[in-house]
Amino acid sequence: MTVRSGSLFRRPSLRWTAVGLAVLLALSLVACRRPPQQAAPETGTEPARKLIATYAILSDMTEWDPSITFDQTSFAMLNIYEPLVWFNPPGSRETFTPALAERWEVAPDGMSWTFYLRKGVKFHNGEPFTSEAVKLYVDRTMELNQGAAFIWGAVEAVETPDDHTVVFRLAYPAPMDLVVSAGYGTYIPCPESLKRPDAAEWFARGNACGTGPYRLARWTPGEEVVMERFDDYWGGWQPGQFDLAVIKIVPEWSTQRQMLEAGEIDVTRAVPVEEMDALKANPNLVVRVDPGFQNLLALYNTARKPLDDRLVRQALSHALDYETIIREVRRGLAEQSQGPVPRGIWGHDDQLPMATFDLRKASDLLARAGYPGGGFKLTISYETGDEHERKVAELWKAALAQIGVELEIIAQPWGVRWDRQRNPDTAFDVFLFYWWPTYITPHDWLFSMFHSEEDPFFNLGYYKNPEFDALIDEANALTGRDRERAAELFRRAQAILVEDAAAAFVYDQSSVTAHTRTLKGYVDNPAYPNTVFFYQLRRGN
Amino acid sequence: MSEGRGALKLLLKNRLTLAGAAVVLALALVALAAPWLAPNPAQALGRPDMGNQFRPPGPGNWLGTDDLGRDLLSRIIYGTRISLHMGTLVILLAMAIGVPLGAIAGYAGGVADEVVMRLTDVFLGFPPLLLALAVASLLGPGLANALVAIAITWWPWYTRLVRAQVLSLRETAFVEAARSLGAGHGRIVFRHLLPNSLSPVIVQASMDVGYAILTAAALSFIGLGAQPPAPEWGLMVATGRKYFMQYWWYATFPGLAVFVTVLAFNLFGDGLRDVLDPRTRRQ
Amino acid sequence: MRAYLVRRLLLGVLVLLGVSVITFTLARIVPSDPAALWVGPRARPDQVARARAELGLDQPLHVQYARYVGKFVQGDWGVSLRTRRPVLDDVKVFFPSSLELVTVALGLSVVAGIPFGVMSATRRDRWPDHLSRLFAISGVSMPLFWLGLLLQLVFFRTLRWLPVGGRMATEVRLLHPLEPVTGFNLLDAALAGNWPALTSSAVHLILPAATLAYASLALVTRMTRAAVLEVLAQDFIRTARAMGLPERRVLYRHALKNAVIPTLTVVGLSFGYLMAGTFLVEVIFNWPGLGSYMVAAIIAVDYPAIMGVTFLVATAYVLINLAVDLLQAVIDPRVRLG
Repeated sequence: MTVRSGSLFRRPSLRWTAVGLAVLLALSLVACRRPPQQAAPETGTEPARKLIATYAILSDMTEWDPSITFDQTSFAMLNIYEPLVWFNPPGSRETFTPALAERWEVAPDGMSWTFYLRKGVKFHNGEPFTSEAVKLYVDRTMELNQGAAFIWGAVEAVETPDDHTVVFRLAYPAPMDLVVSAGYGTYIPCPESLKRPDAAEWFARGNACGTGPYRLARWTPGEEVVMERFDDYWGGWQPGQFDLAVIKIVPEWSTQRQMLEAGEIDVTRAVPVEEMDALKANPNLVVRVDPGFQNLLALYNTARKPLDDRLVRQALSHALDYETIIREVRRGLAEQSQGPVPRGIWGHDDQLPMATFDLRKASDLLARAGYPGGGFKLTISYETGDEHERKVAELWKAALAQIGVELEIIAQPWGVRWDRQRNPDTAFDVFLFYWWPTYITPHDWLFSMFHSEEDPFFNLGYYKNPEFDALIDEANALTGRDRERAAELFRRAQAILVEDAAAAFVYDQSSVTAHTRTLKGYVDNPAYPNTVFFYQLRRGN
Repeated sequence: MSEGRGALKLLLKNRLTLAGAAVVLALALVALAAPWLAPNPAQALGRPDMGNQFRPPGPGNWLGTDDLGRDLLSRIIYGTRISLHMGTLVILLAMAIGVPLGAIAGYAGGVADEVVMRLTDVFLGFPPLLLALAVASLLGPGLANALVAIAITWWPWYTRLVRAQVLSLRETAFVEAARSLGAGHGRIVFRHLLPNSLSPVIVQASMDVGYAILTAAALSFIGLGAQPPAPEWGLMVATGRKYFMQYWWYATFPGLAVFVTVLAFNLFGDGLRDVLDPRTRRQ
Repeated sequence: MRAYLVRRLLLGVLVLLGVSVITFTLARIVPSDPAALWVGPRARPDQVARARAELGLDQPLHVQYARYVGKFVQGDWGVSLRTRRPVLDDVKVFFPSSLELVTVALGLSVVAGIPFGVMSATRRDRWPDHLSRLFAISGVSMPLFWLGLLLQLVFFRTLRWLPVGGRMATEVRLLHPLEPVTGFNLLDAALAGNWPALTSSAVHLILPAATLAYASLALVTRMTRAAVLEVLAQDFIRTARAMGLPERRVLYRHALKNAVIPTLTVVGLSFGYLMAGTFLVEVIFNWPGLGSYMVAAIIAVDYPAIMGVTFLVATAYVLINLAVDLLQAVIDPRVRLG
């Protein structure tokens, strides 16, 4: 009975009363632990109850340095820090929402961009937000040259004509509106934190100082990140917004699901597609499906026999049962990819042909390539623990077996797979691989995976095509000034890849979010993968 | 001779031991006859049947189907082959390393003995699963690597066993006789000492198969052993676990197979030990 | 005694050196690029090259090893490639929670295992003995990862009695935070008089501790049985019996007392067994301990973390074995040291 009266199965009304009563204690403890350099909250104005929202994630924070973070830690960072500009989710009327910059303009030659900064913005430590903060951050990020620093690659100088104007002088015309709204490498911290002699260690210990609506209160490795609302946030606060935003680290989906159903967490994005229907049946939950910017590709090793032959690659692409994969493996939560750039990204081409599942055609192609009846063996690599990749590989293996091709499946962690694939001697024949954008441009996909490279980095299929290279180089230079024309060139480049079967373009995946029904205001933005913006959320009925 | 017959009698009297032996025998038969016993051999070896995923146990699929619509019973039957194969190979490899080292240490004595024995100390200084995990993770995934990893943690037991045997035999009359007839060291070790010290090793080995199967399943569970679509039990539990709360049968039956198999080997081995260790023998 | 102690300590150091050589050698022949893991999946080539130099991976192997050991003894265990924090810091966070789990499990198995063992020795070859034997053998035959799943299915999914995993309920931790003093949640909560944290911790411990205890319970039972049997077969017991002492008195005054040592040994040995067993159990129950940390490190081939944890657990194992042996020698002067 003690168990039943414990926290796990308490009715919501009881629970929230308890939260209200006890949160005072919690907050006073949080306040006591706050590092001395941060101001203590004003006392005496504690509301009667505080609202808590909890988001469960699968793996822990890794990197708290805003110049370096380049992985899932971003979903905490984007609540604590802000970029100059937000990129809006697909379907929005405008492409951008001003954040720390109110407006911006590009010089006619595309070689310099001016951003006019918002006034009256404060950092969590009380410092005012000025152009100095932007310059300090961008200069430091480029100097450290880690994480997503490459997005600033075009910047030659950051100039600050006055406190609220920043000018980026460029070495080549780069689309700085897209760059400053990237999901990584754009979080502007307070100058005080960057001027600390031990800045790197300070961040590494799990400290943060931004302008965002939430400030970092506590990080318990392996367990949780607790953020509390920043009262001086420039956007102001409305009743019903959350006082505490908690990110809980729960490495197992099954546990997350139980916690969600028990009301212990409010949001998760780790929903396996198999369990969507079960969750939808629960009246206390909302399950949403949103378009995503992530797609799955199978890169063919174009440098090695037999996949150096376009016909063999085409044969493989026709042996992939796209329909079944989307219906059964993804449970409808994906669309067959149409070329390498997913739908929803500007420059995507909705006229590109897509490969069909046709084993007879595949067999004919093999015969034309000089392999009647197959008779060769290939290896395919996927990421340990990725169920979707595994199922795609297993289905492909079974289909290829019917046309005489043996596919050996190998699961390994990223570090091992990548290392092997970059060495031509140890590379696999087929490499399953997701891509998602750092900032929103087709160039991100096309350059990273298909532009020829001396030492393969992400061109893990060793693809080499001078005509293609020239097209995307030119398109990228035009992106800042003439996006229409750039999109046109990017579309031509994609047609080349599809014709050449440089990879199997498997699917563009949708993203799934499950949250409690009482949580209101959730908006999904695929430009910032897996980020829950707590500031937008409310508690309702 | 009479002692051997007494032992056999004892063995037969103990029903648990007998049951263990019977199950081991049955498993061996299942492994051999897998293609005839399994309702769907193609699915056992990996062919998906999409649209048929997660069927609960019932007619047609007696143990249900998995996440790719494959018949679990067929896959578990084929899994017997992998598990028995792994169990025996691990022990054979451990013996191949451990037995010669033990013979050398016992026969040569001195520095060789000291070096070999300290080496066994180092390997036995780890908790067994930990070393296997560390080695397997560093060697990379795959059944062959898992095999090596487990054998590396297990050989010192055979070294110690053989060394003790050789030590006790070294000064016996027949070895003395062989030596006085001018037999070389190699001949003495391989023709006289080893054959006479092997029987306890073989008994020990038969008891260790269960351990090897259990460890191999644990490694596969973590993703360090078998690779998909192999019907390996530990791997099946690991995959099934992802769907466990909704489709209980997927992880339950392969896990049960591991348990029953290891239990059978251990019951059999435990009975053998009782029979062969005179100290715990019934008076 | 002193000579023995010195010899054993030297042997312990040798074992640990061996452990470090083995793990280090293996770590460096792996076909994985630590620098690639370090910089993350979207790094640029120059970043990888720099990381390689920073991590000292461009040095010859023996130099790397010497440097590793040198830093290790100074408390620098390297930085985890996965969490990007010093391995020692990670270990400090996760070790106490594993230790708590293992200690509770060990306690459970000793409390239950010794009476079972005595019972099965005194009723030898009768049904309690057979039952305890079957139980014990099933314990060492049990895939713990599977047992944990079954318990979750029954006690969480079906009966809804116990939580599925974790160390404490989120709300309790947020509303009744615990200041870590010992790192054992049960102790910390009891010391602070934090009742909700205490109950929540206890409830979260039940399933993982029971799962873990199951295997060592078998070990403790069987060793106690064997020890009691052996003592019962010895001359002084026979003498006692021949002198007509009551059987109860023989059993509890003489036999059990002499069976304490071997049982103590098995408790010590179980500890090492449990330290390894906890790896998979922690994963199943989402227990934020060394096991979950190690398995995550293994999956990512995070070799500084793998080496650090391996070394730590091996050290604990060596020390406990040593302690058990010394204790035996102190309790029983008949144990030969040498």
